[in-house]
Amino acid sequence: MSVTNPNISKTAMRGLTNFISDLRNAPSKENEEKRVTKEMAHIRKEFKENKNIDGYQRRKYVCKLLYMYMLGYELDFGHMEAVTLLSSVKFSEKQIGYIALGILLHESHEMLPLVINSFKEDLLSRNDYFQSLALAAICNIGGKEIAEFLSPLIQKILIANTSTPMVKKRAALAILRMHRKHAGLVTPDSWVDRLIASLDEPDFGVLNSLMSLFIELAAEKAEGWEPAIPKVINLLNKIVIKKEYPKEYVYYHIACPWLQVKLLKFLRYFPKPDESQGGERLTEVLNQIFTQSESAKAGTVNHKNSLNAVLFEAINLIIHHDTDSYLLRQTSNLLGKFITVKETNIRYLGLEAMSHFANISNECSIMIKKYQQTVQLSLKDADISIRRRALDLLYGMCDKSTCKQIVAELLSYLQNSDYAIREELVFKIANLAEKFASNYSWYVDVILQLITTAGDFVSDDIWFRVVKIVTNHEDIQLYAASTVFNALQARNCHETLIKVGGYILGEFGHLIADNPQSSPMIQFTILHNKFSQCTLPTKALLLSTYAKFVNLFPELTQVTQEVFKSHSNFIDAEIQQRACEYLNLTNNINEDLMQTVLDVIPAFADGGNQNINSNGSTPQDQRISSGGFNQQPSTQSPTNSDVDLLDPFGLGLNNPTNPGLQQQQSQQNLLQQQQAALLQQQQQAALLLQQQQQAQLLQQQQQQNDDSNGDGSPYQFTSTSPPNSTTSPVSSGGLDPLQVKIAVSFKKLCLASEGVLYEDQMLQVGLKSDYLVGQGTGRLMFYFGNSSPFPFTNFNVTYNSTSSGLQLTPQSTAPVIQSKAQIQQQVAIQCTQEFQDPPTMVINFLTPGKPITIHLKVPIVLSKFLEPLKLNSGDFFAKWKLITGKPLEVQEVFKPAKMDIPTISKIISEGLNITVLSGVDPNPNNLVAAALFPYNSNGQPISIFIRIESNPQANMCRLTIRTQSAAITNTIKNLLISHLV
Amino acid sequence: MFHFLLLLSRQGKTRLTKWYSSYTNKEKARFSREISNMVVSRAPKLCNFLEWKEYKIIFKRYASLYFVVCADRNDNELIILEAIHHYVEILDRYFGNVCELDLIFNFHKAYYILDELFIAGELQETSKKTVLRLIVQQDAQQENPSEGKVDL
Repeated sequence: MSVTNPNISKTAMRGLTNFISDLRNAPSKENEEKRVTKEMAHIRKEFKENKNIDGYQRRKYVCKLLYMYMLGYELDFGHMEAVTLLSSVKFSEKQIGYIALGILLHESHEMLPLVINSFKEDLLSRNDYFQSLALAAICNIGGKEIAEFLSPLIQKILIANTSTPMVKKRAALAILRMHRKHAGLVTPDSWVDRLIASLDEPDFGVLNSLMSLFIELAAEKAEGWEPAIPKVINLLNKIVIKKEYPKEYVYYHIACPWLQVKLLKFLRYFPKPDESQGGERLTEVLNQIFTQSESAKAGTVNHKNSLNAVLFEAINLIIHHDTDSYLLRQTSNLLGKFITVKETNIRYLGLEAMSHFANISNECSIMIKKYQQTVQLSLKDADISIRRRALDLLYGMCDKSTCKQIVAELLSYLQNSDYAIREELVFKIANLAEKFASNYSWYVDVILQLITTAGDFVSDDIWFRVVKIVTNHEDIQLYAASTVFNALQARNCHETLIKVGGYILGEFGHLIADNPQSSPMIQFTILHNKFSQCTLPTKALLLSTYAKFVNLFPELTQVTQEVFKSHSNFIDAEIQQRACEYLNLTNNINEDLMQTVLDVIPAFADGGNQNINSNGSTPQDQRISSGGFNQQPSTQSPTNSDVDLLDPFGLGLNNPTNPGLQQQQSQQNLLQQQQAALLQQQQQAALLLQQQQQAQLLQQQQQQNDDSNGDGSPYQFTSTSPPNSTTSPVSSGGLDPLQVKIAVSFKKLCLASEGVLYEDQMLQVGLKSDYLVGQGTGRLMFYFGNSSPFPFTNFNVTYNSTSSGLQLTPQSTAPVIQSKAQIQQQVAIQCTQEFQDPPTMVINFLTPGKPITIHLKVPIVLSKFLEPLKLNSGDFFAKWKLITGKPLEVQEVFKPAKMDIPTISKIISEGLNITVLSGVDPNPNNLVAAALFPYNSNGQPISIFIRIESNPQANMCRLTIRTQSAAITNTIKNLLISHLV
Repeated sequence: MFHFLLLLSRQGKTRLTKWYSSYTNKEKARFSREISNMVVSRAPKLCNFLEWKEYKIIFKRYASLYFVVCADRNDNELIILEAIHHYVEILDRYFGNVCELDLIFNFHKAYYILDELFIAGELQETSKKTVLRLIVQQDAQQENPSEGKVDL
């Protein structure tokens, strides 16, 4: 060890040096552990028994402990000794105390409250080294409590005339830290002016820290900070043009590059400054920065880096302002140079800045078109960072005229690209192909090629999208059908291709059926040959395809029925149900019905122009909406832009957003649309059914269907129940006031134990319920009131539970309700496992002249069976952290009906029986809650953990739910969202 | 903003870690491992930036040590690279031709010099002279435990 600085030897601790040597020289891990154990025992003993331990020894021991901790050994003692050092009046001891704290503690450490008072004493001390130590510690490990307790004091220190620069710059950053941990606490609006005034500070170190604070605060809310703009421009002018700066702030011949970067960055949060704000002087500064950059050719790497750091910041500002055509053209030329230079760092940044540039406007993207060749070459760079940027840029550069070429280039790149980048690549190709397709047959070709080349990376929403587009564009249906048919000829097809093929042939196979090479039988055979290797969801899809085939090609009835029959006892419930339903449906007993149900899916609701993922298509808007600064979303990889889209108000700092979330959402949208389309068909079918019922026809078939399918909706297309469908049949659906009223009553009763469930001119249904927590049972008392002038006869109510986890046992009722009279019916309920959908009830009775049928949802939801679960902070987060990832965790951002944590908390605790845990999450804008569902299918109680983070400014909340069961997570999410939105 | 800073040896051992955002110990271990794999395996002459999660990793190798910073995506990469260099130069000046061993045996010093430069994930002082002066003054305080204000 070479020690040339005399201070080091003076302040070194020999015992520590020897100990570190010992550990480093340990011949094996075992020896090291032995040595550590011995030392730990020794130190523990010393701390416990040696009453005369002095400061030097304590310092030495704490340092030894730190070293062991850094090697990865657990420390269960020594923290108190560190605190003792911290409260010492000797600087040497205090310093080690603070260093130890910085290494051992974090913002939510249980020890932290114990040292707040020591922090305060040091802040109040007249010794500015003590103040500095405390401030630095607050900067690094300060949390909410410290912010609450000490922020007024620190604010005072920042603006006090007596504070030295060393103290001031730390105070500025301490405020920054506390603001991050506890927004709103630190900077009341009245304080902004005083902060802006502090920009007159002559010390560049203090200015540097202040600018960090300003950037953070302006990023959040630029409004109110405008008076700082002239001052900032002035500073830039002073540094860049007038060259007035302290000598010690010159770094490799560049005047304070860090401060320059921060000043420029700050301006990016505001529109282009006008004359009164010093706009002209800013232009002068920017021009000067460009001129200076010429000198970057010579000089050390540090000189070049600093110069370019400032230059890139200037470029970002020019791109943000987007008005000065001269500077924009210069920028374009400069970036064109940058992407060809030898230094990889500059190439990387050049490509990155160019993607921002491409997104500004059409003119700009035309300006850089000439670099397309170079960018394409960069796709083959040895450096993945460069390849990523090149891909991003190429994606941004693409337009109608270049799209075919770029997509072809990307497709050929896809074949040799590394796995790390494939998913993004596939996503981008699909997006471009759709966005710029001049004809959709080309689009279909591209997607099929994607599936063939990189099927594993083609997410569901991509193939959903292709199906949707084909469905909505009649002119390509024939082409799509024959293309997928040809693609399916291959021996090894990716499963995604089978899905697309199954879907498209089921819908449009008839368009190519006249061709003897693709006759119905051949279509069926080609799909069914692959059936056995498919996963369950694909099998289910193929069964639907077969059913559709029967409708179109009666000659296939027999072969498909064989398949349905052989799967009617299939082990998977979904497949079994489909097989049974289709078997009955295709029995040809009622052709009308079959045709209605199996009709071509109607065009999807939204226009065909919407991209799979809208991000990237409107970068301009995003940029403006995020305070004019954030240009990232448009150019980042899709997973990263999720953060901005889903978390536009920055809630997720400590909690990185689930990257797949957005994809999942768009997937859900599509699924919902598909379901909606199905629902439409089902409603038609239901209508048809009702007519038939009234005509007392079809009794036979009715029975058959009831046999195959226990619940009352024989024509349900799949077992996933369509949304909002349960109350439809009274009228023909739609949003009539009665339906709305039913939905509202239902929702209310999901939270309350009694109330009116249904009411019209004739009938009123009231409900009282009580549940026995802990036994999984409950009792419902229904009150049926006849408010009409005539009696109801043949009155009966049937209840259907959609899940085996919930049994309803109704008592019998009187068959007649006299006019203005009321009867009761008691229903016992028993919950044995989780269930998703509430049960339904059908009320039938005769009034003089016509029969009435009313379908209602019974307000029994999972939350009725939840048990309270009380946890303290430690327990909660320990358990919370055990569960990660979809599908056990779901997140959703929503706009609450009432942005008010107490209200939300009340709904959750009183309405949904979920225990709100107070004092667990330190942020008052957050809410955490937990509950226990004791009746899970495998006998294990399921714990449910909920966290709601609210952002009152944005009026948005983010909900995260974690449970050990995906089904329960989902059910609880739906419940919460339906009651909070 | 820096979320954390790591000093990694070529063998992937962490010599110094500083976390400016809060993570659990498990996360810290995982992140160090992940990043050290990424950084150490990178061929020379490639760029000093890596995209990792929603962050950017900016790193530079000095002899046997990698200095790694995890920053926000919209941070200025080059100026962070120079901030790293700034730290290295100050270490070099303080220790006199600093080497990995200096940082091992004087880890507490490396930490407190770090605090002189970076706090709250931000660079707090950009003048080398000022930083060194403050460090020397603090060392002087150690020798002179008598209380009282020392003029700067």
